[in-house]
Amino acid sequence: MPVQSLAKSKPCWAKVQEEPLSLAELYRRHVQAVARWARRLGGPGIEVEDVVQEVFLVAHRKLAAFRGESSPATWLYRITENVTRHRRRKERWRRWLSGSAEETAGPAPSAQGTPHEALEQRQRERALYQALEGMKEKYRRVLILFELEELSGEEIAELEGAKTATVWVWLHRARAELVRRLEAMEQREVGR
Amino acid sequence: MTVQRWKEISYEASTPEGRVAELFRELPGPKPLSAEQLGRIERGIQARLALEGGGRLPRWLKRLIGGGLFLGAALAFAAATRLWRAPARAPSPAPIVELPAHAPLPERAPELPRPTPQRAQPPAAAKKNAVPRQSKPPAGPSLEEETRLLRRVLQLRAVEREPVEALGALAEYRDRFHSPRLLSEVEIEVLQAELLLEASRFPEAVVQFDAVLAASSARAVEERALFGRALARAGLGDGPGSLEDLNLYLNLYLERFPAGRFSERARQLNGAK
Repeated sequence: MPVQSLAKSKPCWAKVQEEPLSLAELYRRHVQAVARWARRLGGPGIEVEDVVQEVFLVAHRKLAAFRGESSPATWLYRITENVTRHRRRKERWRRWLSGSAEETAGPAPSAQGTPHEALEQRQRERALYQALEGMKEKYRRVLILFELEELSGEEIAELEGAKTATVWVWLHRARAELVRRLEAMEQREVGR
Repeated sequence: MTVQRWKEISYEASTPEGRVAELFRELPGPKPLSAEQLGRIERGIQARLALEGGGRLPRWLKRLIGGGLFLGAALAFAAATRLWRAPARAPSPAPIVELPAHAPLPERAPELPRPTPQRAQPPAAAKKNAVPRQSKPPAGPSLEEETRLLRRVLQLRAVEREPVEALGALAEYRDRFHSPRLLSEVEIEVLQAELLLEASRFPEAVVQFDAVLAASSARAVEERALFGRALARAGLGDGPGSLEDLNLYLNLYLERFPAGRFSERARQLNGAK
């Protein structure tokens, strides 16, 4: 079953188009969705603007080869996923090389709520992404797609090229592992 | 067909499913890109496309060029292959040990492969007399080696706190890897500038940061370079002029990255002048 909709951005997962796509059209329709995927897949440390730029450059290079087997949104999602994965790998290097506290500090708290609340929210987010960081890529992706993007099992299976039942198993394992990791992190914090 | 969303299933808060759902629910939704951000992205894409020459040439011309390149590569490959094979056909300079004409043929075991004159040599001698390869295919440096060298740079910088030696290791890395896979060229440039700063080679650091800022519009690189340049300017002297300069660059940094990675430290430095 082709991916028909994405909970928060239905137009992005519209049916496969018949007419040829242009980069401008792709950009106009999907830029916000790509930014959101980049932010969610990459976590708080990702440079969203750079990723979005890279995704559309890759899309531009591959556009001629795009045959419409999947929807443009699915295709763009896969490019975003690849670009984000590479960025995260490079970011690990960058953090390692710079080794400074500022490098790992992440973005500033959002303007919503009090500074204290914003700080707490930011810390929670960082802890969650820290726990996600060491997990298997597919588990990490499945959790993000399910919990944040609110995709259905069928939609995730389509994106991942797996059976729905397999996605369910991955999700089950991913949750258990995430909880284990968070508990271990809490214990380390208490031990300090 | 209605799509069953697992999200709609409610779980007990004590189960892993319930706990994970709760954790993710607490996360703030990412804000949509602002008009300013979109403008920056569009300008970046246009600049990169212009740089790559994408979209300027008609498709037929690109195909023609692509075809020409392919043909050229194929011809080059064919030529290289001929060169590669040529020495094998040439007579070997190694002395050939010939069996004497009157040597008795073995009576038995004729089914065994008869040793060729070269094979009659002991292996060590054969190796010694082997024809040296005329053209060795260039073996690209491995990713492991790149990792090892980059790790060395890091170790010198972050663990041993030896920026001068780290600069040397980085120079070696650059010599060895002209097309690095782990860092982009501009990331190496900014790393070098930071090392110059840490080595108190402030004038060179300023020049290097200037070059980085001129070459890259990537946000992460620009942020590091702006902040680094501010510190390098401060390192150039302790007079009021230098402090003014520092102030100027820090303001520039804060204006561009009000909530950046170094903004808190930049404000502290600005306030401490």
